[in-house]
Amino acid sequence: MATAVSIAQDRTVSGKVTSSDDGSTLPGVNVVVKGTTQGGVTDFEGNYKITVPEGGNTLVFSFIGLESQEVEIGSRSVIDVQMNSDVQQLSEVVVTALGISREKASLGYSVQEVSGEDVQKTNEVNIVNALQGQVAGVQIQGSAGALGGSSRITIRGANSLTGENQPLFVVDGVPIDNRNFATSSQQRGFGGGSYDYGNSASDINPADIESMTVLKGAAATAIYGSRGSNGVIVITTKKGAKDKGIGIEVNSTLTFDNPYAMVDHQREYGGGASYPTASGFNEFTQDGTSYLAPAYGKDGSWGPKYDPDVNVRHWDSWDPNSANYKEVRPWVAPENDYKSFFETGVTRNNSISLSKANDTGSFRLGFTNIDQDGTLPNSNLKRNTITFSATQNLSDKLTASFSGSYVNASTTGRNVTGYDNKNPMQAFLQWYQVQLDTDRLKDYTLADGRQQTWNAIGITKDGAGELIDYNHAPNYFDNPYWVRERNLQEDVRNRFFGNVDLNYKITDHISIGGKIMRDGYSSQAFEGIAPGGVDQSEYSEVTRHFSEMNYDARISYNKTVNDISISATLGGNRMKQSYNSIRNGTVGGLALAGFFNTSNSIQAPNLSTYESEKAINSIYFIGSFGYKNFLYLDVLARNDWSSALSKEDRSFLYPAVTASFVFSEVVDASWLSLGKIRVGYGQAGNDTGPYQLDDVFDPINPNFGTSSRYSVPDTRNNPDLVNELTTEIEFGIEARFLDSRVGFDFTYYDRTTDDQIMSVASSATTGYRAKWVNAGSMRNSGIELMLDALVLDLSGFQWNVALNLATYNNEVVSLAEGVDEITMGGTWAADLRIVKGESYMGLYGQDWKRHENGQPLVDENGYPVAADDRTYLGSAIADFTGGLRNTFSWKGISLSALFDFQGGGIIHSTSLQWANYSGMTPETVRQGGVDIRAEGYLFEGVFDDGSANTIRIPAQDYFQGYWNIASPNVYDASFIKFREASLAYALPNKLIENWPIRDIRVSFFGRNLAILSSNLPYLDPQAVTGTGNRQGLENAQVPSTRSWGFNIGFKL
Amino acid sequence: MKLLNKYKLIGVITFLVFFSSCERDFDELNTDPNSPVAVPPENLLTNALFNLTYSYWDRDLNFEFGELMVQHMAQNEYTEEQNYSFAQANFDFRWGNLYAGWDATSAPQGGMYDLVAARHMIEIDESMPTAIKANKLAVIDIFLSFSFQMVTDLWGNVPYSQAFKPSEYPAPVYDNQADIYTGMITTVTDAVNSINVSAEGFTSGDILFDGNMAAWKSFGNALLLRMGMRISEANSALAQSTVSAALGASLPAADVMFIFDGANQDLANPFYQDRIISTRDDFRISEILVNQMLANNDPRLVMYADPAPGGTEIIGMPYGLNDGGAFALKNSTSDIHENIENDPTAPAYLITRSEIEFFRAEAIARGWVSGSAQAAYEAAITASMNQWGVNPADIATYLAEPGVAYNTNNLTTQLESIAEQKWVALYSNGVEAYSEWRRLDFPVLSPGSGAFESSIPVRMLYPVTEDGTNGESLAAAGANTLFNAVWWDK
Repeated sequence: MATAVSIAQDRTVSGKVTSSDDGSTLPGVNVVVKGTTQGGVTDFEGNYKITVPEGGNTLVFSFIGLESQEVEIGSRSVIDVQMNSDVQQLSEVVVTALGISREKASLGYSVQEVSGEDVQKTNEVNIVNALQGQVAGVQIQGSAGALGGSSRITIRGANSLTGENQPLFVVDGVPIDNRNFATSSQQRGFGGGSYDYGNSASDINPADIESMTVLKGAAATAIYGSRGSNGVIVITTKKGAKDKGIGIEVNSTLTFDNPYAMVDHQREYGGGASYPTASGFNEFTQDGTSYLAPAYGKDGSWGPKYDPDVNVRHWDSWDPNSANYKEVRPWVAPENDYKSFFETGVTRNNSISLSKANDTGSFRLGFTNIDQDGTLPNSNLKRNTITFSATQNLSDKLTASFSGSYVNASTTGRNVTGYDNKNPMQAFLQWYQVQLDTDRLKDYTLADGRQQTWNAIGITKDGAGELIDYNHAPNYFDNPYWVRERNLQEDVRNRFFGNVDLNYKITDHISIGGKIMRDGYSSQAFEGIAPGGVDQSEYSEVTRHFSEMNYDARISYNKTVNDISISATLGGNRMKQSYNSIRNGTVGGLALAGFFNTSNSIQAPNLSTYESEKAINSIYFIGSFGYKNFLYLDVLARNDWSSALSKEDRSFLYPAVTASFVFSEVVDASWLSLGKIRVGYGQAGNDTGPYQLDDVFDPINPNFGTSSRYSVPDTRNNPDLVNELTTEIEFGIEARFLDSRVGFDFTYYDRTTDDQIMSVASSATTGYRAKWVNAGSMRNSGIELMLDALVLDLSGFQWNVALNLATYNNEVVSLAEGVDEITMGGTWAADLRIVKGESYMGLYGQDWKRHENGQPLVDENGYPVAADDRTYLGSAIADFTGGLRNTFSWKGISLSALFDFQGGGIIHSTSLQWANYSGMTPETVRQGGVDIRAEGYLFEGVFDDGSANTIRIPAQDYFQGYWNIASPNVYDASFIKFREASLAYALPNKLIENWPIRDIRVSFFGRNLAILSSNLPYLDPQAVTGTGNRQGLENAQVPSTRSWGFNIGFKL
Repeated sequence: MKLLNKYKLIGVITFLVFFSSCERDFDELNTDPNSPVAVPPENLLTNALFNLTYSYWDRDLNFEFGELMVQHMAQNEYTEEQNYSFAQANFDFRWGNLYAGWDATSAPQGGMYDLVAARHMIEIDESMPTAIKANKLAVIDIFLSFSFQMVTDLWGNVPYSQAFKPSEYPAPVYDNQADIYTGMITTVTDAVNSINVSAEGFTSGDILFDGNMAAWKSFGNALLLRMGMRISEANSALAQSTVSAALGASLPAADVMFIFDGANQDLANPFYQDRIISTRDDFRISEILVNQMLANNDPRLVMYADPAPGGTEIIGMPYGLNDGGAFALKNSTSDIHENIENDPTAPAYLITRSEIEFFRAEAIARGWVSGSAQAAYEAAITASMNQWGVNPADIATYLAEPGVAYNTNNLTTQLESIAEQKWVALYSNGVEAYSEWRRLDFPVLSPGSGAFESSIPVRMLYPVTEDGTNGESLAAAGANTLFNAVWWDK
């Protein structure tokens, strides 16, 4: 069939187009037979093949940013061409939606590419964290300190009130699941004992990334239809390339992580409570000897003042079988406070790849091993990734390719998030006795094997003060070493994602393709609580299976006629997602200690299952029209049919139109290297999850005797749900000057997301605490600015500066009819609400009652007065974010430093709330140099008449009496961070000519080096407890880590 | 032509691949495999009976609120609640769980709405014989009213007439408590009258009375007695008619108890779950109660609390201390008795013989029914002694104590005798004790030394969630403070 279309007199010319600068292949180059409409475009490998009609004798090669070239054909059938860059222009090819490579100048929307090199600079393990500070309008929150922990990413703020706000990750066309298993209570900082299992897109291996394209607005993502409204991160993996050597590349990194951003403990008063005795200690006698003891059972630090001359029975002096039974030691500040509980984390990241390419195909096989020891004792993460990609021209017309990754990740000793005894941070940051020496805590068992904790129930004495009993059982807290050594947390995830792609060129202008894509994983998590701790012993295991299949077929048409180029694609896609989980666990505790198995359950074990399925069918069309390389118009549309919506409402059309005008092509100004304006309009959606239409009953476990239990769900389903719809218009201008040394890219966007799918809280008195509705809208607008400049270029020394900045104006325009606010839960003192007319995720809490001059009021006794109601204290959403990168390079040495920043947004710290309540912070001892525990605390407020407060009140009264007032623990979340630095040296190959290896590159790098500015005392304002929408509440955060590392890479 | 054929082929293939079988599958695909669309009403009843009883007896309403307000118990550390430092959000769960249920691990799921949903299913079941239908509806109405009384007694004016009609009334009004009481009394009266004891009720799923309709009938009458007496000060006419009718009807011959299930700890008694499963040790018997009981040589004291550590003596925790003060005494004061805290199958008392006799005594004292108030008073105390397992021989001794003897002087002294003894007898039932203490205003209690407020709260705060979801109705319900008394609390 293929030969049948050829016309006898025509002949075929093929070849490869490369860059004269570095020999790299050039995709997307227009190749036209001069004087005809015949032509084509080079493929991703720079290859072209065109039919030359009779009489055609010259080929014209053109590409934005390169000098056009005319080449005589003569009798040749293979013509390889090297093209020179056009100093007047600078062009970039970016991978856009659906993996289509486009000249950046032809795009009518904002797009930003991050090279694999930039992603790999500091060897982040989690791909999301690697984007930190690099892309305008991309905001990342995450605790780099939590091993395998979650990071949240949003683009252009939050669109959806209560739905998903994180972008879609796509690797080589395969949508990647980024599910997070954090519960809503975990997100607002109440762990409930849940571990942080991370965001599942973290399985993407940074070392395999060739480039990442961040598609921000609906104009760029409409083609992703109901999955596009939060932006799309299009990741292209490395492919085999022609290379000089035998094609082996090796990379090895060693990184050290040290925690920082921790609350300081005061060092003047010890833990416990002050007893009403002369000494302030618990005074008792044992076997005729008098002793002093602190209040072991108290998880706070309002104890007696340190005094090296006072000897007391510390918590570890109570084991009759131990050498230090009855030992007394001075009552002093610890040599090693809680900060020494953390270890230096070590990450070993090794990768090797084999690749090869020839004229008809290429392949790459990569293997990466990451072995990371966390900063909490007994934590380790291992991740092995095998990536394989291959492409082969089976004939002139048929190309087959494959790319895929297999990931095997296993973790032990993840951290428990939030407010839970199993998260050591709950004690360290909120409820602790500050005199404890961490070294001594390592002795966490008694000689008989029972737990020995600092927070034992402790002493019982009789009326005469004689000791009756010492109870070793923990009161509120286990010994943190007991938690880390005796409890069990293990999980393993096996994942495969990949695609098979077949492409057939029917004619020079028409091709059809079919692609099958799969992402799937199965994971198992095992959790156990050892007997003898605060919490009932327990074992549970959860198995989860997820898979998503996509079947895609498309037909493409490419043709250039005179000055007009046309490229059109019509395609269809079928997506099917399945998820199921099985959980089983013990009830009533473990019968045998140390045996973590469900069969070891004291009562009948619990078993529960969950499954869900969802499918979306789609047809899409993309049409790109170009005129003379300076005027471009894109029209695209996608129609989705979603199984999660009702029959009447399941069909949705998402259109987009964009245009760009490269005015530098028509303006003759030597100082202007590139000038372009663009405008785009698009709509994209956000689908709902399955099973939100019909009313159902929830099974409740366990049965009461033989009676089954069912309950009406809290949330009322809604049969009339439709998709959330984001409509966006964006406008941009970009320009480069002075031989492209300086450039900027400016974007303004304005997007509104309507038909919000929300579970709106309803009055519980209706029978439902919430209901699914489809109403309301949220508007986001802002600017994004990228600036870069080659500041200095002196005899080989170059200094480049790149700045990105984005602002966010966010308004909850409307909610459902009659609904003015949606409550999103909170902590004791603060709660999150979505309120009409305000910014998203408003933080509410009580403030002080204030005098008309703005100062807090005090009553006649000097005590502050709380306002009656909770009020709006601010939004967790930032006003602006950005990053600044400086790069210096000289003769193969390059030094790069990245700073990033956020302005605005607020955070409420529950850690500081309780740390102050518990008397642990220096602020609970000193106020302007005065010892307030002795002298009293002076609340900075005014009396009713406006005069300043002069009455001191007991410090403990103040710090324990007003914890439920939110405002003292609410801080501006702005920060400036020294995000990363790297110093790299590429050894000149000339130096090592005779070595078997080449392209040796060594680098030192650092990550999260410093919080240069922050209003939140001690802690990291960026920490999150989950990747959901509930942000702005800090609770017992695992400390962020500062990392240093060394990397060496070479090729064979 | 060949080209055209090729396009046709492509078109056909595309069509086949994508749209042949899709649409048809979608409805099936979106059918929830995890939750059924229909269940028998029995399953909802079981859930509601358990959860609402659990809530009545659980920490949030009972021992971290009611028992602290009436000073039966005292906190031994972190003494916010006994010193009345409450945030509005503290009541979100309490409210939401009772009305609609609250999905959370380790907490009960399903509230009054499960009863309403079950009621609806029964109502529309045309195949059910009339007598059985009437019995089943009566069971639901009685327990729904029991639950509503708990809610209105704690909060005052609450959504009642427009509650549980989500489509019709998305923002239910707060009914006046006076109207709620009239409604509840009418509902329970009708329910009791509609019961046919010779017909079947719920033959399965009735985990309170196992389908015994006579038991439901007498429980309904006992509730009418309680409801009628509760409004004695606010609507004495309705109170008198309701109480005298109830006292003339069949009443429970034994304490109405709900027995928790020891087979699974999630179904165990809430005291046990708190103390043993969660290993919380937050409460002590209050010194005020201990002193009152010691003064009268009350034989129940050794059933109420364990001896203080290291001795045989029962030592109460002074009520209302601040955190540090209470903590210093934590290890030298008496814990709640192990029979209450350590037994997973210990019952919740929904209404006791003792309460019924106290009501009878009060009705006689008020002149609403005839009889000997003193005899009823002593019968009430005797019933309480029996409930707590006191040796019968000790009962007469106790009744002879000068501090116990019924003070017949005038109505006020009679009511004080009743109130004081009822206060003692209702130990461990904080919800009912709190209501009766507020109604009878005796014994006289005052805030402790660590109190953040100058008087004892007389109601719960409406939750934060109502601000946002039902703000207008809430605003019309009156000031949201701990100190504006409910309607019947005169």
